[in-house]
Amino acid sequence: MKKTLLSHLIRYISKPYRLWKYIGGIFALIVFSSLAYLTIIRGKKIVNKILTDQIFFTGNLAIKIISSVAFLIGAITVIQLFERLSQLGALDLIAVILDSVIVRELGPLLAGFVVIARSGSAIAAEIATMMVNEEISALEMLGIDTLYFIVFPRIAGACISLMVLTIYFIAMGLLGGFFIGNLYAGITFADFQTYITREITFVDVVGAVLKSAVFGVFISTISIYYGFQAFSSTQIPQVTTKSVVSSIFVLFIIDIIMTLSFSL
Amino acid sequence: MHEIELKNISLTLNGHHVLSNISETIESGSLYYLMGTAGSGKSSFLKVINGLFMEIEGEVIVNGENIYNYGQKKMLEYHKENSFVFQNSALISNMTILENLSLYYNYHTKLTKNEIIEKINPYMKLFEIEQGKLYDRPYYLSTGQRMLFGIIRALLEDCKTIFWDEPISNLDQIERNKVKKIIKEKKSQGKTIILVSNDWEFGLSVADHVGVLHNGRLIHSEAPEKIRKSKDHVIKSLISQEG
Repeated sequence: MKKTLLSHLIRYISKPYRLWKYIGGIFALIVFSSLAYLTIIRGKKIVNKILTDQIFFTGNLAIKIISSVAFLIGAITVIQLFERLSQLGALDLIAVILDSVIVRELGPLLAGFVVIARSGSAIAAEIATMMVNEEISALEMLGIDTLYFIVFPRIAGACISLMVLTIYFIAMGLLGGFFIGNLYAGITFADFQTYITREITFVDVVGAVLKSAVFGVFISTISIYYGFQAFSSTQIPQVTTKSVVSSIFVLFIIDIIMTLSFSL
Repeated sequence: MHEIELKNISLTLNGHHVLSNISETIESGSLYYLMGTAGSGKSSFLKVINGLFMEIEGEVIVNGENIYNYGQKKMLEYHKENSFVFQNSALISNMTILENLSLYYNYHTKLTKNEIIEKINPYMKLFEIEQGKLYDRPYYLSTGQRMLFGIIRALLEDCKTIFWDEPISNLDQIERNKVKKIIKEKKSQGKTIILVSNDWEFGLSVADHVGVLHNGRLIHSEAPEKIRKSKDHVIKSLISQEG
């Protein structure tokens, strides 16, 4: 009984410490890996190659899933809105709603989810496996800075990829919206283009891209952070799951902070 | 070349005491052979000396300085002076063997691919490995072949100190003899060698000094002749068990 109470107490007391350790760890990875990339000159060629591989892996290989998800979300949004807006005689509001839903909100968020599911989990599992197989130790023994060689290319790769994927998501989402608008109401491309260019501003797109850049940085860093926590093969699935759950949670936190700050 | 001094080293991992209060000195240019049963902390002992654990108790003094006080840059320089043959080879799994072997040179030097291959080739000939294997990923190779490439990677660095963690346990007899010959050569070149191996006859025959680990404690630190003659039941069981 005593032991149970004591262990609960220890767990309760150590919770804030673990949270600060987590936050500190995430920010330390971002700051020190960026500093390493900026200050270390040697090995740039090989690190840049890893960076391009990461962009290819996170960006290019996610195009298929992003295309279908974005197209369907755009289409579904218009299907849901069509009846009500036509009853109100406010079909031209479709562009306003598409701007709020696809461009400002769902574009970065859903592209972020796809990256968490595909790349975040893969990064966590990859790093965890490298930890367990002592590959990280082997790199260190070769005098290679793992922040520079392992961490930075993955963070930068996810950040760049997610920015591009978000723009692509927005484009595909709008295309899906147009497709259904054309099918249901015979909206022409010229009309659709007029609505879109009137409602969706450059600032909206920049905001979405900025949001996705921050998402990309945090998704990859959280995945790397958890990957580094594995010390035995049984921990690999555990840290992978933790990284996915944590990334989703943090994504929403960042989303609300950024949405609030944009609206101020 | 550096003398390595361990002062009251203790290591705890996930609540388990892996190493307890170890103090030892490893002379530069000597061959230090570490014996012990499975799980006695031999690999952790090697990693502690290389600063591969974040938190330990005690000090690892190299050239008069505790390596655990090193900053990131100095630690990387220290690592560059040591090479490590890992028990499981620890080749980077998403790179080809050639990329693995070239990693050190690609990162630290401006050698071309052909120049690197020229450095690798003598070892490929020595171990009679076909060139095509250089373009395979580690998981396509047998454990023994991976081990050989792990050894080649460590040797290509040409460091002052070489750590060997069970380098011959996954090899056949011919390859074992070749690796043993390399270890002897490196010793004759004046390199500091720290060897962990279950081949106690070989270890005792080449060692200048022997440490015996048991349950995370260094229970003996003697010359090889004394270890051979020891009547300590742990050493006796180790030698009879491993022999």
